[in-house]
Amino acid sequence: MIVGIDLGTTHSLIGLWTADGAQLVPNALGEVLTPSVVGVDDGGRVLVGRAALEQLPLAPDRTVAAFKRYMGSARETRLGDRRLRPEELSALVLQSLLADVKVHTGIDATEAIVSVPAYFSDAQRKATRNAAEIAGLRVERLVNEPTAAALAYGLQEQQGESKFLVLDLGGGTFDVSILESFDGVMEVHASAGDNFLGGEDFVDVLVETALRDLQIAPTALSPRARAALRARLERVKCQLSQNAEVRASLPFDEAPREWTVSESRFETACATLLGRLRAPIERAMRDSGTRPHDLDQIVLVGGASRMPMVSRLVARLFGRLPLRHIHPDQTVALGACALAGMKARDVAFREIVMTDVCPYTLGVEVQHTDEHQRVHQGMFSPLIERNTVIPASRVATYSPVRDFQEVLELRVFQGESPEVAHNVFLGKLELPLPHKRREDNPIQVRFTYDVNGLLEVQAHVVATGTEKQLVIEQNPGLLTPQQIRERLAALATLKVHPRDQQANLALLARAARLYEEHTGDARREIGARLLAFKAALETQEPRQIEPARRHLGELLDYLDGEATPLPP
Amino acid sequence: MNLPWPWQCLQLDQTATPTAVRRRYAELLKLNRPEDNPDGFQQLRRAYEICLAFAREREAQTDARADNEVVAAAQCPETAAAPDVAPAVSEATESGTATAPPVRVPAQTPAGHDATPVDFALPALRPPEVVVDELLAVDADTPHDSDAFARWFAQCPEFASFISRNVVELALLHRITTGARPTLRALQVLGGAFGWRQLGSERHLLQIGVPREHLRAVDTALFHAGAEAQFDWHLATKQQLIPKGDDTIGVEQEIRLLCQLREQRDRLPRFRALLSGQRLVRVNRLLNGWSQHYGDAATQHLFGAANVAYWRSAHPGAPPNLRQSFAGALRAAILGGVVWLGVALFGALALWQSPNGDSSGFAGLMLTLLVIAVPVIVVINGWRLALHGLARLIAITDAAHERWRERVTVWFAPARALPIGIAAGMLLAIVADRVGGAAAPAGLGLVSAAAFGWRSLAPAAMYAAVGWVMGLAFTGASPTEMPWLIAAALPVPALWFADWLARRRLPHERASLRWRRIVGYSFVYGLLAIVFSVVGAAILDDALR
Repeated sequence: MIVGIDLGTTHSLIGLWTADGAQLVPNALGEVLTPSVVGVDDGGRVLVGRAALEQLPLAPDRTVAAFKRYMGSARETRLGDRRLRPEELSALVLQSLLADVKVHTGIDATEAIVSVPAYFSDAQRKATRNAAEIAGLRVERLVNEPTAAALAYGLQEQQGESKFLVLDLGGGTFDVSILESFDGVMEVHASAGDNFLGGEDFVDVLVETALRDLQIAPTALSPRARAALRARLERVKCQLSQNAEVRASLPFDEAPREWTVSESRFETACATLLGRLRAPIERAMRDSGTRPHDLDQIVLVGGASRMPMVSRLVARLFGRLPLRHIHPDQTVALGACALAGMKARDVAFREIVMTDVCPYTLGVEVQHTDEHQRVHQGMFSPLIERNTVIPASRVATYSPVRDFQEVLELRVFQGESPEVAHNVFLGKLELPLPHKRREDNPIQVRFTYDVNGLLEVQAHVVATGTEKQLVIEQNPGLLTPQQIRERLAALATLKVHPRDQQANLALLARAARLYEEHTGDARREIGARLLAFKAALETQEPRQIEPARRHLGELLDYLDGEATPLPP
Repeated sequence: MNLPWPWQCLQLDQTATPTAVRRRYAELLKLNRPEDNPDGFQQLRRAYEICLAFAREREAQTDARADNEVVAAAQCPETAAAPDVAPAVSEATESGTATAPPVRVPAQTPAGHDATPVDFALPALRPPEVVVDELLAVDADTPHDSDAFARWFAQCPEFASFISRNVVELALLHRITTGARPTLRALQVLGGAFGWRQLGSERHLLQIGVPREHLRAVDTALFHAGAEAQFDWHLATKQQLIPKGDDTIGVEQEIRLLCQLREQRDRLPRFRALLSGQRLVRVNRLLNGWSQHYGDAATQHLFGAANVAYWRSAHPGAPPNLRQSFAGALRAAILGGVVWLGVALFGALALWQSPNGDSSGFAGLMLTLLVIAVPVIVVINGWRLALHGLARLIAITDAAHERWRERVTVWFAPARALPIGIAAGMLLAIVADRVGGAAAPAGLGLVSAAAFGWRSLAPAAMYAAVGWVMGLAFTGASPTEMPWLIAAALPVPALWFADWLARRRLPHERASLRWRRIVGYSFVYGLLAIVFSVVGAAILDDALR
């Protein structure tokens, strides 16, 4: 069975393709959105999802969030007494999602379609694939998030030809894709994006604004108080999407303080972020040669696109209102499920083909002599230009710099600048050369970019016929297969809470957080109901646990000021 | 049927319309899915792209022909020939004046491009010239606030809309082509938003209406603006080009020198500027540093291509040329003149002290010194000259020069030169002692040691000479007396050992350099101090007697 997974910065989702179409699988708490947060509780057991998210303000040193931003780097996070890489943290989230599927359908999923931001680089994609491998999944295909979203919208079903723009503003990444569909072909024309721009950055702006208003120095806050404030303002941000003005009591170390913010004020504070949103849109339009009136539809995807300022920005840019799904944060996952169905050759998809593009230009470093015989070193020679339809394979012929050169170092880069110094280094390849003059010693370099967006480099010395292949896995940000096996074994030793306890754990953590945030009567009331709930848990009788849980949950919902911490 | 490959692949006629090409592609694509048959898909895709481009070009030509017929019928071909924004840049590059381009300005949202109802008010748009003026003013007013420009740019309504941004961009490009210079920060924001000077930016410039013949001019102007903004930023933030540690000259002096170079970029430096070897080396290091940091093209633009070439050709490390040889010879002549003048004065002093060539006491010491110093200077200079001359003769091409450096010059590095020099020196001293008089072995020994170690040995050799002679004069012993010979030669192997140790123990080049300096110099100066105290004692002893 193939599952579709949206592994997001703030939330992750999993789903299946069934006879009724794409279906998302709820987790133990009955929510389809599982927070991408991993933590360790007092007993050293691993918490994943809602429980870890609730624990975040209380124990920021034992909880990690937004680790997707470090995918493809060697950064390790301390979690209790262990140091975990972003791949392992993602694997823990994936395992929790897989457990949900197992409970729901009774089948162990072993293959998956995983969505990644379109603007993810080679290293980030490989890290995502490794994370799935650590979780025991074989990745059938990595799909770009905007492409998945377009598929979920059923935009391919529109009659005739249509061209549309998908903007995916998720928790941590921003993607822009321009797609066209005709005769059952879904073609991506251009992708652009910003891997460090998402809803989290908007929360940061809100935190800064609040601190400036209340005249509190950011350094004066303890990590714990900061995490609590951030969690509260995260909810304020969501409320601002519905209300023009929000009045909130912010938790601080001494006493909670009242703060009022209006939506227009928030928008002004976010001007720089909005400016950053514009750049990738402009580039995608430019690259595909699309004029604004060529577009039939502009689609907003991703949880952060709920913010009215985002749709206003798009409206200003294009002079018309964009389209948005009722659940913008589920769209990508639904698309991944649809692709899983496509992969399994479901009847509904027999007539649909999708083609995608590579988001970055890929090439090698060269030395270039201009017409004045000046030598320019460190120039970038592109082999695969950005927005080339993938799979793509390109060959170029180079020659050594000097006569009788013994070794050629081929350095592979990704980026858009004509100088390699401004581009991202991917890996290098050393080729022994035969003893020949440079003009008699051509080297053919082949770049192959597969359908998952993974790059393979081959160099071929024509004179000797030797061929060498670049294993970009040598990148320090990536794990080797050996390491993956080791991490897989290490992960098995982690103690994870059983799935049926997750709902209770999340509620306990949430109650503990609210207990800290409140004072006086509210605090006493929480304490009383918490004790009752704990006592009910001790009895291990569902008949007693259920009313106690409802009792506590109602109070917490009331105190949080909304039905659920996040809109559905 | 004999069709070119792409049409064969798609099984189409060459007269197929774009729609037909796309339809056939869609059909074939379902048989050659990218994930199942990557090779087949790539072939299909290439064929499709070629056919589609061809079909579109055909269609465009047909349309153009139809248009021309219509235009001819209306008898006004000029108005339809060029887009109305085209003169903007052409005027700019040719006349060089800042006349307002005759750009049609959309005062409000252009009607008829969009049928979707919009439920908010679009801000009224200003003429592009006004926006550009404001842009430059905002940029110039906030030199210290690094975010102010980005904030302004993010909020400017004219840039926020695809409807007006191209017109404003065109006006801005026109202004930059005619000499306006935004700061580096503004250029980064603008360049990021518009994709200036990225791969494929020509396509974008053509699309917004820059005529093809002016593409190069616009690109060059953008590059120049970038390079100049970089220069201003470099000066304002006081960046250092020459890395700290070895032969650094300090930020202030670097900036002064860079400003001088920039001011004088339009005329070639005078030949006498090359006579200061130190200045020549510094200028070259600065120019190379600039090339390394900001690119060679920026260096050429900022400091004048001819000037950069001039300075580079005069550098001793450059391939041999007339200017460099001439300047080098002149520098050597001046330096040699000074040295020989000093030697002559010293000789005159010695003769004045002892007119009849009396070789005892202090005067005798001076004469002996002179006898040794003259051959040392002659041989060192002769040896260097011979080496350089040989390099010039043999190593004519760059590659040969490099080979020369690899194979010959390494023998003169202290690690190899010192042991060889010492061994040869001792051998010569013994031979000369058998053959000649008192000063001969000393002179020959030092000469050979100095010749082989002329780079770092010079201070050590000079010290050895002084120490040895002083010792002889003090004791009045025979020149071959061993303890003094050993004492004199001692610092040389010690220095060599320190050098070897530094290289072995400290892999980091700069640290090792510092260490070598500290160890080497303290050694030399400490021993020099001992020697001078010995000399003082000798003179005192002589005077008392």
